[in-house]
Amino acid sequence: MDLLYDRNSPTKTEKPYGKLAVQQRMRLAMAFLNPLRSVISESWLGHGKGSKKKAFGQALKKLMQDALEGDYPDQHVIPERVGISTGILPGLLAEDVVLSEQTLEVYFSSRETPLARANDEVVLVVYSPQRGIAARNTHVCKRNEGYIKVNLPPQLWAVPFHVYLFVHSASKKQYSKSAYVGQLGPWQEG
Amino acid sequence: MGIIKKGINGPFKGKAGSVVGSSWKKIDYIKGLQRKKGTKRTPSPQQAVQQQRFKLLTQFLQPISKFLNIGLKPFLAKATGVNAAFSLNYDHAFLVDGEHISLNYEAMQFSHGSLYTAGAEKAWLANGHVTVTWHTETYGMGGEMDDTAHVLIYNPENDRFYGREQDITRQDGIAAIDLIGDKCTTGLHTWIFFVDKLQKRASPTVYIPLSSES
Repeated sequence: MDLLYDRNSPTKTEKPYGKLAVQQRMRLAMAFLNPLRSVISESWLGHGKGSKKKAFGQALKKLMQDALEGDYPDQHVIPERVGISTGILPGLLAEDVVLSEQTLEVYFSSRETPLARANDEVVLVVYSPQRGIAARNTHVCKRNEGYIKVNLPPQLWAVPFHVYLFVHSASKKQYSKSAYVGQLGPWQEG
Repeated sequence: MGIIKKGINGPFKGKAGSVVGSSWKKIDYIKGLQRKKGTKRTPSPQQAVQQQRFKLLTQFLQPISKFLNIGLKPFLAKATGVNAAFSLNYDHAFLVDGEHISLNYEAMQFSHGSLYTAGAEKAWLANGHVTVTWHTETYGMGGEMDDTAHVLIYNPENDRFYGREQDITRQDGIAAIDLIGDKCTTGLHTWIFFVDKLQKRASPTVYIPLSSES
């Protein structure tokens, strides 16, 4: 059959590659950061001109610039490049981690600089993007303590999760860049 | 479906020839006149399957519209709770076994949002009550102690839904649903989701398999 045109066959318009790629980047970035919104809206507030929404937008932009790899349709987020906080305070260095079924302990050190104050507060965040569940330390931990512990929510007892560590000043006005401690899970430590 | 944004002659209401104009929730619609009875074409096999799916899911969701209006509140500006739940569930709501289509109860979602689920959810049936328990800690993110817990139980044998009208909070960690008087208590399906105090944010829905004992 030498068919030239069939009015009844539906016409399919494919979206341009660039549009699909950008949409996927946006979707991936949003899916990764959204469960951490409560932390990010504070830790990026300095970049949001006082607006929590703008702060989250800046974090999203940074993730899309730095932490996305691959070509459409195989783009993915690189968790170690994601910054869940940013600022000029000196960060921390994770020395050792101890993982048990329901808790995670991290031993850390800090460089001595005039900006690093002993009463800076440390925040430890554990996060599973697959489950969309995160947790942070609920007690106050100071920079000079060198040790922090976080209780893991039940959803993270049996799945791998990412660990981030950062500090903020006692007034919560200044933050450090977050340090990626690693991906931990029930089968591995450190 | 096309979108009429102040259309070529603007949105209109009422009948104009074979066309009917109306608006609902600030969305303008143009519809064709209803077909006369008996003039409906018989659906093709593919259409019949789609119609069966639509019927199954809509019939399941309609009795719990009150529940859906709570869990899907952010979507209610331009849809009803049932509409929103329908589009949320349609892609994963069915189990297809040859020509037989049934609902995939485990995949059902009655809420959507960024609030965290509780974790370690358990449910069991004893003495005519279904008891549901969950983890009460919030770990500093994604939830508050005063979030309201909504528990829903469905019995497919008699097509009945059960739930509690009174507020149960995340902090309570337990809810007992009375099923006394219901003779068929096998094959029950249980779900739970949380909504914050201001009813602005909701958690995803968690399906809890019913265990025989605590």
